[in-house]
Amino acid sequence: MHAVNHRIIKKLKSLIKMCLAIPGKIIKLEKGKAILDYGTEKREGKTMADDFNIGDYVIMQAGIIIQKIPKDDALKSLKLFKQPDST
Amino acid sequence: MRVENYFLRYAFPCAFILKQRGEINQKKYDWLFDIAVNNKYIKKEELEKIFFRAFNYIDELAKEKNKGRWDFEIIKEYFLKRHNEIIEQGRDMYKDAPETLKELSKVIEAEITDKKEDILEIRFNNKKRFVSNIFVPEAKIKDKVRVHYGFAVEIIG
Repeated sequence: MHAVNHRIIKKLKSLIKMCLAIPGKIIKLEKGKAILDYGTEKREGKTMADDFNIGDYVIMQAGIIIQKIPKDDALKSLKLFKQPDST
Repeated sequence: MRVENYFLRYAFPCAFILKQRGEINQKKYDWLFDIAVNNKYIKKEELEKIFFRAFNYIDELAKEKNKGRWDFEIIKEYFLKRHNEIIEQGRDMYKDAPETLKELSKVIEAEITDKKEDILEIRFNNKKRFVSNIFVPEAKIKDKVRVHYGFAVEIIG
């Protein structure tokens, strides 16, 4: 019984962790690049347009700033990642 | 293209997130990237191990269609249809996920509106996104592409 429960819990935990990206906050902008703050680390990404501003929450992939995320959505997703079973 | 490589091209944006979350290390990520970009051989078992969450859903679909999990049609239908349905239905983590994040997770069809070096500017539903052209280096402005997260995966039509 215990083993079965353990297996089910393990599966549920694994399903919680799906493919949602972690947003970063722009703390520095230069021509063609931005520095993102992820709380624990800072990373640099390439930008193609001037659409981004300091303080924007964005998603970066493959070194490219791909899209701006509304602040509310960014904070909500950061909260999801901080839940003990989803990190 | 082998079904394994087709799968990896669509699943690869998730590898980036697995790396962000510390589930795979940089070495594994770079290894997958090289296989995805250069269409190198990879064992099905490796993909099943790394992307095991996707296979929970793929198996559901395969069972419905009475086919195997590695049937090309099943993998195709999963990424081009079922995957978005799962997000829209808000299953599992998508239940609490913000709309913009859910939208990024979907596989979308978009037009290339600008290109600068290895970055493509794409538009869909009046929204703009910048994506990597690494899987479609031949893609040009006005081409239509399928996009998953920050990668243009294939040119369509």
